[in-house]
Amino acid sequence: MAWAGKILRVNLTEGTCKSEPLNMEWANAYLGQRGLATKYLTEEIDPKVDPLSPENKMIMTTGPLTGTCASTAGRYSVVTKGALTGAIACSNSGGFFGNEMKNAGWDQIIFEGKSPKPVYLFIENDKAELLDASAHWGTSVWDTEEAIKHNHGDPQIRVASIGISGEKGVKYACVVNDMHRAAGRSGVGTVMGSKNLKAVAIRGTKGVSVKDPKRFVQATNDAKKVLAENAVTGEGLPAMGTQVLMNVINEVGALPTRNHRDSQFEGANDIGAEAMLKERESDGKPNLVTNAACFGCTIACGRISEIDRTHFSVAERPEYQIISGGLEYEAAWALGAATGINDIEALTFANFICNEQGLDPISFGATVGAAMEMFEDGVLTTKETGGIELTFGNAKALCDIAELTGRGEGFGAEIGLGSKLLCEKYGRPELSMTVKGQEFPAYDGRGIQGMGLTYATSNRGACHLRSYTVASEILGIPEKTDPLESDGKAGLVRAFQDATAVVDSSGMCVFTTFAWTLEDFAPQIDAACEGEWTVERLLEIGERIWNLERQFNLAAGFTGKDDNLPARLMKDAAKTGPAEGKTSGLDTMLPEYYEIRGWTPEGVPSNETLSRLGV
Amino acid sequence: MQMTLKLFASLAPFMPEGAKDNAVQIEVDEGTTINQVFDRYQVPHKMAHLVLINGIYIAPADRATRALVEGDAVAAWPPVAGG
Amino acid sequence: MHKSLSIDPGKCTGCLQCEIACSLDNEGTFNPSKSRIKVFTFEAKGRFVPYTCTQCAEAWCLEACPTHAITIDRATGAKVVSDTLCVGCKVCTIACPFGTINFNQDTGKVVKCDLCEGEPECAKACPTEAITYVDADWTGLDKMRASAGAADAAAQA
Repeated sequence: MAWAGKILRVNLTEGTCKSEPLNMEWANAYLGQRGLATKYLTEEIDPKVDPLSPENKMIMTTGPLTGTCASTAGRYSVVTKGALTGAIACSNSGGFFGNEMKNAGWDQIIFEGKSPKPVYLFIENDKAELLDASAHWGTSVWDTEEAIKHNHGDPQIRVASIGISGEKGVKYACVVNDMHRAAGRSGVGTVMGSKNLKAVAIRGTKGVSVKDPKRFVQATNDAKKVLAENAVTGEGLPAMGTQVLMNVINEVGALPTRNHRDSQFEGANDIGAEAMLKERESDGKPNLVTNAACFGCTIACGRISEIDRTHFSVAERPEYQIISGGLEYEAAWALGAATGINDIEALTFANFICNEQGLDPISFGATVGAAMEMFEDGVLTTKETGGIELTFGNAKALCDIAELTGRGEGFGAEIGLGSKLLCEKYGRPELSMTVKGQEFPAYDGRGIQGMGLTYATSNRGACHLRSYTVASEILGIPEKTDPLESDGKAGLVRAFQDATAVVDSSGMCVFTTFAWTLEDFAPQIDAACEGEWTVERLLEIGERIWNLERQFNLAAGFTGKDDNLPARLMKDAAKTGPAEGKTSGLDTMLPEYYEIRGWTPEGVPSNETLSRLGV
Repeated sequence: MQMTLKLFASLAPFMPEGAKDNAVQIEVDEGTTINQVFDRYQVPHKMAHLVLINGIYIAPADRATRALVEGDAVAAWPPVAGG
Repeated sequence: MHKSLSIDPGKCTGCLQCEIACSLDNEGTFNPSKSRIKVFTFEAKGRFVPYTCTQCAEAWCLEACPTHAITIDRATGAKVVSDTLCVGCKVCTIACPFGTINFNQDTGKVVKCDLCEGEPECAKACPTEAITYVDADWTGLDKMRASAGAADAAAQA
């Protein structure tokens, strides 16, 4: 019940698809999705494996509540050893694909080996087969999705695919489902491309059941009411989307700007939620067309946008004069503030390209920001960039480089290396704003101290979604803490990390946590899943998942020394705003964090901790 | 004295005429409090959830007492979040 | 007094909670593919449009059925399929001008919206009131009120 009880094992080398029962002992210890797939991966691959070799595996995984009526319960994740990071990767996506996979009767799909030629996996309930994808290889996510639906004569098929970037080995390629929802970070799409797997297409009509349907409907209705009555999830997110944060984070002085040289952006108000709602002079319409929901989501924070048809990016390009997935905060920050560009239409265009070709807009935008700094320093010239004037603030350059990177062509192939390899290649490693090879997202660790520790300790490389302490430090959820204070942040980060690992393993969306605590999750999970699911048990599972991921990274060769931040955050003080004069207090937070985690001073989980958690 | 008022998201409609990009320069008496500024523009105190002076958070309890000084920037939002 | 489902696509976010609720009530599992109400996404327009049986007063499906398997629920006015009488001939699916009655391969019968005996699950599950269950004579009331307001504003301008 709740779990479908089956996993599909696809051996791409042999071209076989086999069903096997889900390991329920592991499901009980790791819940589902992120936790459960990580358990499978750590049991099945050598952590030292080259992420792009056939020996790496890639798992698509749902949670026990995926496909049920619980709010936001349509999530799935892609778990693998990340191409960008070489660390454990788990990228979570919404849309409708996760439900389709669950409704076809599969908890997980494990891909192993490498196909000799481009293929896609087609699943119709119990039936699974690998089909020739040579006609789709070299085409975009958008074209692939449309062509597969057309070829099968079934518009109700759901598709997750990679764009050309994933085929060409761009290090931060995503897996994109439903045209513009993505398992975005750490290069999970790059791994998919390395296996010659272009797409997964599913039609599922079997139904999802739960342990106690009556109690489950009651529990999920209660939880939906909490979301509806909360001002953030009930009103703020549907109306303004995540983009409302642009001005907030700028005002508090933590909006990383021009590759973290500055922490406030003078153009912030031109690229945030308010700007998306503003009527344009050219056509009287706002950038934002409507909000949109993922499967089962009663929040509906998604943005659907249309670019100004007179804008240089699309004026001669009718194929982009369309309505499609618009800017979320992270994308707008990376494409805008990180590059010093305040042209919201250009950012929307670059975002369309990221969706179309399967690029993580965070890593892409941040890498462009690093390249712009090297260009301004004269390390890069138009000779390397193929004539592109890669200066901060150049909107045209951003649009051009997005298309080149999406296709892995010209200087786009270099941008596709990610900022760490790119900056190393040109002898300026200190300009890469990354941890464990992954680019920072949209918060400055000097102005929001907890986020510095969050990035440094994130198991998948710099990431805001592993412990979103912004909720507490800036927004006061569940309670307000001082963003400039590093004291007490170790405990806060650890608490957010463990709780988030649970949410990411359930099938539900982390955005519910602006209103829900684990007290709201537990009754829903308990009514759906066999056994007893208390808050205490869930928290232990969260901690178990975190330690398992840590063990994988240590075995892969990472050490406590990799729990670090670039010198720019540790030594260069913020220049303006409330954080003026401040650097990251990581040096004091990290030892405390290790201690709170039950890890050695070197950052290794102690034997007691591991045996207590059964890792 | 001169100060800056910034109202964002669903508070934007409370901005006085002449506001540009969610910000406006206003003239207030010395010692004016945040709540007095909100009252002047009919901003419901409950809707002003996140309130900053020069980027620093001001707790609800201090909004009736904290006196503004020349050049201060007050920024306010309804309950918001993102990620 | 009968009630009707009133659908306002402008309020729909495309979350499919209506489909999920419909399938649970009718199939006992969460299975949107078996829902009697469908939400259509018009990507190019940025619109989400729920659609289901409108319960025609003169129902062509009912008229076309050779086994008289479709009858009127007197309490709600819904046109209801009897699984015992339906032989799965699909003539009703041809007769219906709107496509809202469909064949179910698993059961060999046709399925359509039956208004859940007067408590439609889709309307209850909709988080944005895009689907409501209102007085059958006044499904246009909200639209009419909005139009009245707009006309008045124009007249005053």
